[in-house]
Amino acid sequence: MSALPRTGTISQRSLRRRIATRAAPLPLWGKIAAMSRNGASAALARSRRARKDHASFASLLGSHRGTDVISERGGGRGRAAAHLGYGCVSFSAVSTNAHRSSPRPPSPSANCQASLAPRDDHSIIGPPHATPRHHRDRERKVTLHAMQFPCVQISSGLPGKPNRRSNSAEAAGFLGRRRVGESLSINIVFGNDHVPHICNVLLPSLSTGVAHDAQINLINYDGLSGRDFNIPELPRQHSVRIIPNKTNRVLGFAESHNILFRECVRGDFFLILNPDCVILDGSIERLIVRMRSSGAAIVEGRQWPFEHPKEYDPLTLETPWASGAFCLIDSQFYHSIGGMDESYFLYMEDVDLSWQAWLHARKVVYEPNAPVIHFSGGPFYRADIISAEEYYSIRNFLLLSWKYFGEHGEVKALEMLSQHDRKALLRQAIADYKAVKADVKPLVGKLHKNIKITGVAKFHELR
Amino acid sequence: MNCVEIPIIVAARSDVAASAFKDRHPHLESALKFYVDAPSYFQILRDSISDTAHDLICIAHDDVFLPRAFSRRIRALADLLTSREIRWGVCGNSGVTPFGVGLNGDNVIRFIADPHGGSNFQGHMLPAMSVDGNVLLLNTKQLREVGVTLPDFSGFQLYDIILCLETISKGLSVWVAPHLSCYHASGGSQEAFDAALKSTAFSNFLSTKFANTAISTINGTVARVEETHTYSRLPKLEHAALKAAQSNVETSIAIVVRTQFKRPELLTRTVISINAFIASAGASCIWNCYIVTAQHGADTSALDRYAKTMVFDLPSEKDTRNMVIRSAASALSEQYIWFIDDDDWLFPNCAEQLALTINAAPGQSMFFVESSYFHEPVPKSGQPAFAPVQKGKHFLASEFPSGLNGVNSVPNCGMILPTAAVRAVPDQCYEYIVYFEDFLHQLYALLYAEVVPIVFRGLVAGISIRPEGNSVTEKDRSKWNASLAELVSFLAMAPRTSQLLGLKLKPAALEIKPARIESHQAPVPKQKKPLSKAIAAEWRRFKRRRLGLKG
Repeated sequence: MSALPRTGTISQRSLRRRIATRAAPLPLWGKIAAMSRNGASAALARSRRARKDHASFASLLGSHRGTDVISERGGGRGRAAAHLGYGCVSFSAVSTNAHRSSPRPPSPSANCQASLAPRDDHSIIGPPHATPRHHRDRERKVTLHAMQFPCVQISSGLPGKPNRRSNSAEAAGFLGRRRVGESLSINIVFGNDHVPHICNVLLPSLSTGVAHDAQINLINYDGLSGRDFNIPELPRQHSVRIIPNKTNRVLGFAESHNILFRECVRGDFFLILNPDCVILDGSIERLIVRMRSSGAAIVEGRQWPFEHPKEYDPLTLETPWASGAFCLIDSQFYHSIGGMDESYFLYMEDVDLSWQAWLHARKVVYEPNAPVIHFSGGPFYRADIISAEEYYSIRNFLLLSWKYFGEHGEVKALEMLSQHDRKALLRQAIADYKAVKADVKPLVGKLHKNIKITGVAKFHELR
Repeated sequence: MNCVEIPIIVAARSDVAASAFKDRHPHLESALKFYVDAPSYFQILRDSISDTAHDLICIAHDDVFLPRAFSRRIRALADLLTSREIRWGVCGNSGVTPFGVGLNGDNVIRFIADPHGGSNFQGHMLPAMSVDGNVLLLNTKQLREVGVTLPDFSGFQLYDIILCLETISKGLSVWVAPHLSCYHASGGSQEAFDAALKSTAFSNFLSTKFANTAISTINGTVARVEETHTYSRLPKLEHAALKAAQSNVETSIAIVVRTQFKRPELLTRTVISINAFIASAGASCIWNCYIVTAQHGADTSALDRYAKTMVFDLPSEKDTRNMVIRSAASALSEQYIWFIDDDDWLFPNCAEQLALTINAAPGQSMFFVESSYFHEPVPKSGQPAFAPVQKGKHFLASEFPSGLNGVNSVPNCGMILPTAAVRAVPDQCYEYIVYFEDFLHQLYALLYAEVVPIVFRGLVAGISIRPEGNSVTEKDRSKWNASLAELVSFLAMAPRTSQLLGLKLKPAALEIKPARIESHQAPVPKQKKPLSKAIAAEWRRFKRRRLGLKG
């Protein structure tokens, strides 16, 4: 810890809260930077100004969003921190992102080829506003145009408070926020190996665990699947929709979810769920209730048996970032930011999504009373395997650092990574990062206290 | 069978060596062919594989002594593999398996005698990740069909490992089989092997085949050099080796949950997790889940989609907790039984690899898997039991032999038993032994003559530990002690079991084993630490006693 210089100072409020919650090590940078000099109020004021200045923010986002990306799935699995095992920061018991089982990604070279390949536009049906980033200028124009529209929507709610629709929904009852006749979208990205679990375990658990109307939307990230789904008998109010992956290539996590969002989501919020989970009775309802009461952009459930150890405020339930394994997302927010950033491909795109929420003055909340079974975590990771998680954790750690902290972040991240013991892997990941970096414009200056880096691929403090 | 059907190619270093080999193997003369003074063993293998005149070829070093029935046995081995519809490429007489085998739980299997020692296993062929090249049986037809090619390397090191890895990466299996047993008059050169490992070309080869940064071989752990630690989408070696070895042999396992329906919320959790496990296990085995009980009238409708419920008529005045196990073992037709308590759960993460292990293992195996305590609060009645848990003691599968020395180190959910071994336990044991039923199963199965212990390294089961409601956390141990008295008594009065009790295996274990790669540990080879003075003195005394010396 001490080997790394800290920047800025800590506000008194932050310090008091830290002492009260016995939060251990201080974040190295990021959070401190956000709170520096002018304290929290400055950060809040900045975010307010940013929201008022729709056009400039939209163009900022738009120019970023419209850039070329290597479309790969990502995830902020702090688990990777345990993999990396650096000496400069303390994350001894960290398994930050132990909770999502990852789809098998292609080799980096395959990804590059895939991203450069012409896109099958027929596979995307839906409103153009959420079209993610593409390489070609023709598509980029569409994206830029689309990105400006949703940014207007951001200002519909007051900072830090539930938006107006959310308030009215409370009076309307449980399903009040969703439009009449619309069902809850439960979006699942799966691979071929997940099919038996989905059919035999997950869908039956949704049958009993979700009492109201639900549409379960699935997409196979692994290309065209030859396996037939043996859909079990579902309750009348549930339906399953399988969106074909017509790209004939491996889709990233973010790209897959963006497709599902465009194709399927019509309600005010939607659930994203890992394909190897088991839903427990009442958990989704608790997420919805929490979303209504908190006005959060993202509400994350608790994973069992290996609960994520990242911190959350015991009173407000706010948490720095939410795992994409099981969380409820506000559709309007998701729409407004153009969906998840597909640059990450695999891992940490959920951290990015959460940070976007904080930047847009929306909350990310942890709901400990909404458990989901997700058998993933520390005991199942092996140090003698070079995994996708280890690789993308390096690459995407750099990307996040660059995107949110600019050149300063990149330098810091590289400094922290310099102690990585797999130098060749590090070089490979850095080279890949540099190829992507050119298309990602940093959002420097738009910081929030919850946007922080506390170690390599670690974005929280331990509970 | 005609013993000359499979040609035996001998890699002879000279004409003299070839002549000597021929002289000591007159019984194989018609099958022998000699490849004299080859520049590289890779060249010999390449030529042998590309020789379309034969579908099967045996290749041997010139310093091996093959038994009289060798030709007949290699034909029998080929027929056995064919009959099980196994897609195979290479067989050897010693190698490294993807799981631990035998009472030592070793991954190194030797059907060979050489200056290092003798055979450490017998009777069964096993899937392997790599084999030693002293004698190889090659399915050249299959190897050609899938396009197995060897790199243009020179020399006489690593060819066997490279051949095996290339074969597995192409989807063909590698086996270590007793049919190829022989005496090898050379211990090999560890120095030459270690020198060859420094080859970057070899490390590059490894990095294109599997995601592993280190692999176990019969000569020790082979680690990739750091320069080749790059990422690409590759399989894990152990998994690929098992997947390739999958046979058509139908293997069925009954997962049996005994319950008295006292904690329905935990029981539901248990069967849900079993369902998730079965869904992840793939198609290599048939898994069935049963809830067994002596309680009549319990409403199991909510559990029907997860498990079949079996209700047994047992005397109500007795403690029937274990008697239902006996009744279930008698009623079930599956080959294996896995007893899971009604508050345990299964992890599906290693399910497919475990299923492949069971499929590839010998028929009467006893599988030890890893399990762990998880501490949790007592669930509120009627509430789902998914409170945060805290991981506790971890039960390593490899520590099962300590059971033979009186240490109960394997919980019930940590072993999968052959049904025949469970049925061989005397009926009365289940009536009188209530608290040490896991120890009972473990010891009786280990003492059952036909059982082959298999060690599966991977966390598979979770055990709920609560402040109350667990027999494990009972403060009054008198019931435990009473059960132990019964167990000791039954074992002492069991003359027909094998004489293994008290066998101290670990100190006497064969030393030539590779560094094991535990699923939860880094594979970095550890350097030997110097023995402490006390231990060293004890060790010297032990050796002197063994040699019959005083002091």
